Amino acid sequence: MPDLITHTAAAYFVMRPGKFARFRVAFYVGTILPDILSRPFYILKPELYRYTIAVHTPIFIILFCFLFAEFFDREIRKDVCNFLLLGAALHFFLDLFQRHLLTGYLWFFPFSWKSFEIGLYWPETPLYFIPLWVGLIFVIESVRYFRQRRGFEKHTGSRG
Amino acid sequence: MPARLKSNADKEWTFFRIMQVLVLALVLLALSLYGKYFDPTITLQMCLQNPQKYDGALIEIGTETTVREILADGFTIEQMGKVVKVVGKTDNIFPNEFVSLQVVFHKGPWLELKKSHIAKYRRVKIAVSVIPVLFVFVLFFREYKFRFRKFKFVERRSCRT
Repeated sequence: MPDLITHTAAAYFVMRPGKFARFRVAFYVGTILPDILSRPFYILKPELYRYTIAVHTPIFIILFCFLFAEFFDREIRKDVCNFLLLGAALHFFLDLFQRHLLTGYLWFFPFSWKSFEIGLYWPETPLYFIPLWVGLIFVIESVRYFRQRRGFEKHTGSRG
Repeated sequence: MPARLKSNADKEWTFFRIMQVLVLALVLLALSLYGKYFDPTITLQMCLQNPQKYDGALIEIGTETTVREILADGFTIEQMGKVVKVVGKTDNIFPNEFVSLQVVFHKGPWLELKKSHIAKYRRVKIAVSVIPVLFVFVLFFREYKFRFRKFKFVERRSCRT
């Protein structure tokens, strides 16, 4: 997996447009879901690794999103589920480009134990790009902030 | 709204939904157990438990494996508290680094190195990954609150455009 800053930054770039504002957070949760459900367990207790094999697979995450969405208000349940699923899809899309020495991700679990990947970068490579992602987010948010402020000043100026 | 209608509208946790949640939870549990018991991968731990059976097997080692010591003809690795010698090239391999290895297991036990990858900065990767988790956690609870009485998340902002 790339680090979660890279995953979250990718989610930010996809979801920044204002029209997605309402369910942006659900998308972010979906983006980090495959890793936060699996990694902590076997990093802290490697003996549990085999229990987490299924967790970082599309089928498990799809079903988990359905389950998690059940705990949301009826009016937003369907949208939350959709955005969780889209976030998870982005996560798996980035993981697809990774390279492993060992068996990679099991995309068709439990129907197949075979894996494939495009293999552009090692799991640690995206770490070098973190300053770039953070810098870009800072620039985008700064531009947005100053635009909003200018708009607000114009608005209040026309009133006065 | 009449009391009876209101109570029906509020009653979201119907028998059907409770069953749906239970079935989903059970399927997730079943998938996890299937992964545990049917994974065909031969692990180092399996080899160490039964060296005779797995002698000569090509295996992959990756789960939280670190280099312990560099030797003249190889190095030692530690996985889940067990230390094993690996014979092979030690280029770019340093103590305490996380590694992924493809090796041939020999009873003894020792390992013959075929391929290796050093997961440099893995600790940094784990550490920086905590930041977005906290960030998303804070954002999530700014956006939603959990109503224990109704046992569901609701949006904090009731009025939206």
